[in-house]
Amino acid sequence: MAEGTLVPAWEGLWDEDDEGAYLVGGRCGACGGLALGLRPICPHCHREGTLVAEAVGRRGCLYSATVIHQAPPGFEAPYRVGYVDIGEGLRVFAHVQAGQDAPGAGNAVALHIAAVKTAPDGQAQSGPFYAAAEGDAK
Amino acid sequence: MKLRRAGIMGVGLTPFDKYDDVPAEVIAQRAVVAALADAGVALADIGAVYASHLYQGEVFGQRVLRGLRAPEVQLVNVENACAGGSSAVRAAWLSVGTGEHDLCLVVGAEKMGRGLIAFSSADLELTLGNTAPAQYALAGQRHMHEFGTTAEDFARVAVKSRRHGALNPNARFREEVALEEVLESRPIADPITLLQCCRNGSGAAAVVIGSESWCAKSGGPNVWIEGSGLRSVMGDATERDLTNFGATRTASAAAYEMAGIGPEDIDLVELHDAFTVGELLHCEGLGLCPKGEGARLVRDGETGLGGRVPVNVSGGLISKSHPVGATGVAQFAELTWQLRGEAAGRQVEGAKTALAHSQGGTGLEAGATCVTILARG
Repeated sequence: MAEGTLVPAWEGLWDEDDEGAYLVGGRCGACGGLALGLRPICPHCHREGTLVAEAVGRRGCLYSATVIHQAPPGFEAPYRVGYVDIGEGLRVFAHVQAGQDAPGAGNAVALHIAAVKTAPDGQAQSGPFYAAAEGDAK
Repeated sequence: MKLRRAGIMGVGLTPFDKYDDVPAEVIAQRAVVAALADAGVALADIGAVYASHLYQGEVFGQRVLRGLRAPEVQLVNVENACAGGSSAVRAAWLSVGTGEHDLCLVVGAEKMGRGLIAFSSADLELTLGNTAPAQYALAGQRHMHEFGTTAEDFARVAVKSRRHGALNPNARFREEVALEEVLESRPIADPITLLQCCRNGSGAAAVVIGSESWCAKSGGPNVWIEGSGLRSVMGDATERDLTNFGATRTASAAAYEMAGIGPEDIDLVELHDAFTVGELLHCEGLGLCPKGEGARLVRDGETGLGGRVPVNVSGGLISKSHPVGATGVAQFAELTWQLRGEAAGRQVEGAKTALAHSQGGTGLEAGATCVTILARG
């Protein structure tokens, strides 16, 4: 399916701008805390309606990854997933590059948006995908 | 608050299997009837019932007891994912301990299909393709990275548990498996292979918990509940250390403190080995060894029958399968038999103190972990 027809597997958590792919962080205007996504209630100070969108997670450090061989519906095995410690201090779940040049735990990774899933109606869906990156993991 | 002493008077088990042609209610009723007979009490004596299940629909516990012509009774259905059974036992123990009731019944039951468990709640990780075995695999991968644990170490857990399962007539998978066989079985989520995963199952277990005066009437050796801890560690609070199993650590610390003992006093453990990785990490979380050293326990045979602290002598979930709502209750059946000296073929000789641990949830720790300590009176 063409790249242009991708829709997000989860609304409002990732996007792209001139600098490339990013995750949508929610920065609290009251306490300064950061969460993944624009949630109604700040998980740090519990105020409602205080989170403002902020681009985060363009780069990170791979914490752990595994190759999934038995896939749930909508996914094609094998694929690699893991947790990435993003520069802003969150640990996020994402798809991760597999194969010969695949990053290992502790390696620097950079975010891309990739097709990861197919909906029951055949619609290709996108998700966050971290691939090996040059430079320091931190 | 100071609790009254409460003990396990009777246990019943409907051994885990497929039961394609048996309704879930009947699977559960068999365990209830067996537990009541073992305790020597009648359904009419029961003050409160706690029924654990995940997939059996509305008022399942009431449907089970209705078929046994139960009188009007206090009944709560308990859902805490895979820790639902142990949470139900805990609730019954508190009901007796606080003096609300003198005699309580716990029943945990499930009838399940095949394949990966289908979670029904919206969860970002599951939406993006994470799976239950992959959650444990990610913990295992990090453990390998930090502590040098190997894929063989995790596979050894399955070899050990299946060796135990071969000795337990209640286990579902009773053939021993070799290390190579485990490693070469179908990969599920690296390093976890098929033989390192529990299977879905159907089955039930029931426990009767009574006050000291009820236990005195039963005549047999008493099995007391000495302490219990129930904890959830939510992923949002901190970056999760996947090798830490913080909920296991905090729940067991609470249980040890209440019982006035430490991990060195435990003679045997039934713990939540839905996947082999979990067993090694939970052993560390329960304090059976320092963090990072779980592999040593299974390499040196310390957690095997005859070892320092046998783990999952029933064969564990790996050998028994995992009917979610029944699993936690079934651990109490096995440990009661062990503490009474009735676990033929797999008896831990002289066992006086035992620990039950179960964990459930959609994220690795964003669920519940329950740890309970039992002692022979």
